[in-house]
Amino acid sequence: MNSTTLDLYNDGEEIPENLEGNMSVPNSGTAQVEGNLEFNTLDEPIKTTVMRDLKAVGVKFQSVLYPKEKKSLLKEWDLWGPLLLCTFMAMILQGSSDDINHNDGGPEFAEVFVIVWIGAMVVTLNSKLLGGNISFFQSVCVLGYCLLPTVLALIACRIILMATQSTTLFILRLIATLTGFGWATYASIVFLGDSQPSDRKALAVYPIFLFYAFISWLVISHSN
Amino acid sequence: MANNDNSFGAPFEFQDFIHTTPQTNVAELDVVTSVKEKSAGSSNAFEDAGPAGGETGKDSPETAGGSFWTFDYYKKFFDVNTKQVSDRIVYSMVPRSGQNYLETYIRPKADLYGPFWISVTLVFTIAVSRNMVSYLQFVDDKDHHWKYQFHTVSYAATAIFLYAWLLPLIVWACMWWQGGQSRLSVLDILCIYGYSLAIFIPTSILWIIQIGWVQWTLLLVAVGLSGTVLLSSIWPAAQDASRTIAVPLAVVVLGLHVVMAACFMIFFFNATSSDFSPTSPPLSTTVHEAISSTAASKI
Repeated sequence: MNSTTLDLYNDGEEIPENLEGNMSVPNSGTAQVEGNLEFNTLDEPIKTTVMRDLKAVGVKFQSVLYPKEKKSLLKEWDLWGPLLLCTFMAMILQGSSDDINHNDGGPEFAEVFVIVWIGAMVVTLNSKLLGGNISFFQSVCVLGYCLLPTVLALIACRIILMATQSTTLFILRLIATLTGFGWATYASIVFLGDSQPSDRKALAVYPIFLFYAFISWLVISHSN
Repeated sequence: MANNDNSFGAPFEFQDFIHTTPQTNVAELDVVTSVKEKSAGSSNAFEDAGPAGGETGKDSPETAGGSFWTFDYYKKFFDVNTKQVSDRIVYSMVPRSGQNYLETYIRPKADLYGPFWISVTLVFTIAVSRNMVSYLQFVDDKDHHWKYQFHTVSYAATAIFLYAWLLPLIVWACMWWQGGQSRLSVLDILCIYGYSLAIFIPTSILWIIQIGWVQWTLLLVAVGLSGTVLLSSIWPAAQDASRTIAVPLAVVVLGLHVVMAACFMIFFFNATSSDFSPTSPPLSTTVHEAISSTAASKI
C-alpha cells in the first residue's frame, strides 16, 4: 500500500491525497529485549546460541553454589541445568546387570530420571496445594538446579571409590554426601522458603528435605 | 505520527507525547502484573481464610474449590498448618483416655498431607533400614560382596500404599454398605489410617537392632499404641453403622494392623519367629535369594 486515504471531517478544505509521515515509537529499539531476541537468534551462528544458553546455565549453577542472589533462578527459569544434572547422575548411579551378578541392585537409568522429575513435580504440587505462590516450573527449576551439590558429592564419592575401600574412606564418602545433602537443602530453602506463609513453612520444607535425603541415599549407597 | 500541527500557537510538548507511548507499555505491564497480583491476592485471601476457618470462609462448600477436575478442589485437603500436623502425629501414637482422636484432632478438617507424606517417609525409612540390616549381616562375610537393593523401595511402596490407601477404602465401603449413611467419610478414614502409620517410622529405624526380643517388643508397643487410637476412632462410627458388623470389623481392622506390622518386620528386617539368636541365617534373605535365582534362571 503506497497511499492511504484519510477521511477528515473538513468541509471544503482541500484534502491531500497522500498522507505520509514518520512514526517513531520510543523504546521500541532497545528495551524489549525478548522481542529483539526472537528476531536476531535466527541469524546468529549456532555457537552463539549454545554459548548463551550455557552461560545462563552456568550463572544459575553459581547462584546455587552461593545462594544469595535469587533473581536469576526464579525470574528466568530454565530446565537445561536439571536435565544435565539428572542425566549425569543417572549414568553414574545406574546399576549394572552382568550375567554374573544378575543385578547390581542399583536403580536403572530410567528409575533415576523418574525419581528426580516425578519427585520434583510432587514436591512442587505439594507446595502449591499448601498455598504457596510460586509457579510450577519455577519450583521444578529450583529443585533441579539445587541437585548440583549432590552431583558434586557423587563425583567426590566416585573419586574416593577408585581407591581400595576402608572404613575411613567410607566415613569420607559419608561426610561428602552429607555436605552435599545439607547444601542442597539449604540452597533450595533460600530460594523457595519465602513463597510459603510462615505457619506452613515447615510443612513445605519437609518434602524438599525428604527429596534430597533420598537422592543422597542413592549417592552414598552407590559403591562399585 | 509526526506532529507538526502548531495551530494553537503553543509548542507541542513532546514530553507529553513521549510519555504516552511508554504508557502503552506500562499498560501492558499493568495487565500482566494485575493478573499476577490477582492470583497472589487470591492466594493471600485463601491463606487468610485458611487458619480462620477453611472452606466456610468465603464461599459455600459446594462452590468453594471448584469441581473434581480442577486444582483448587484438592487445595482444601491440604489446609493445615504445622502445629496441627504435628499434633495429629503425636496423638496418633499416644492414646488418651476420654478423648476420641478423631473428634479432637481430625475433625472438622481432615487433611491428606499427613497420610501421603507419612507413607512416603515410611517407604524411605524402610528401604534405608533394610539395606542397613543386610549390610550389617554381610559385613563380616568376606565371600559375599554386599550389594544394596534399591528395589526394596518398590516393594515397600506397594505394600504401604495398599495398606494405607486401599484398605481404608474397603473399610469405608463395608461400613457404607452395611449402614447406609456412614458417620465416617472417606477422608476421615484415610486420615486416621495415614496418621496411624506414623509410629512405624521410628520403629522401622529401631528394627535395625537385630535382637529378636527387642524387635518383637517394638512390634507390640507400636501396634498397641497405634491400634488403640485407630480402633477408638473407628469404633463409634462402626457401632452407628451397624451393630452386627461392628465387632467383626473392629477385629479385622486390628488384626490387619498387627499382620501388616509383623509382615514388615519379618520380610524386611529379618525377624524370625523360631530362633532369637542374632547369628542364625535369616529366613527372608534366603527366600529372597531363592526367588531371584529362579527368576534369573528363567530369563
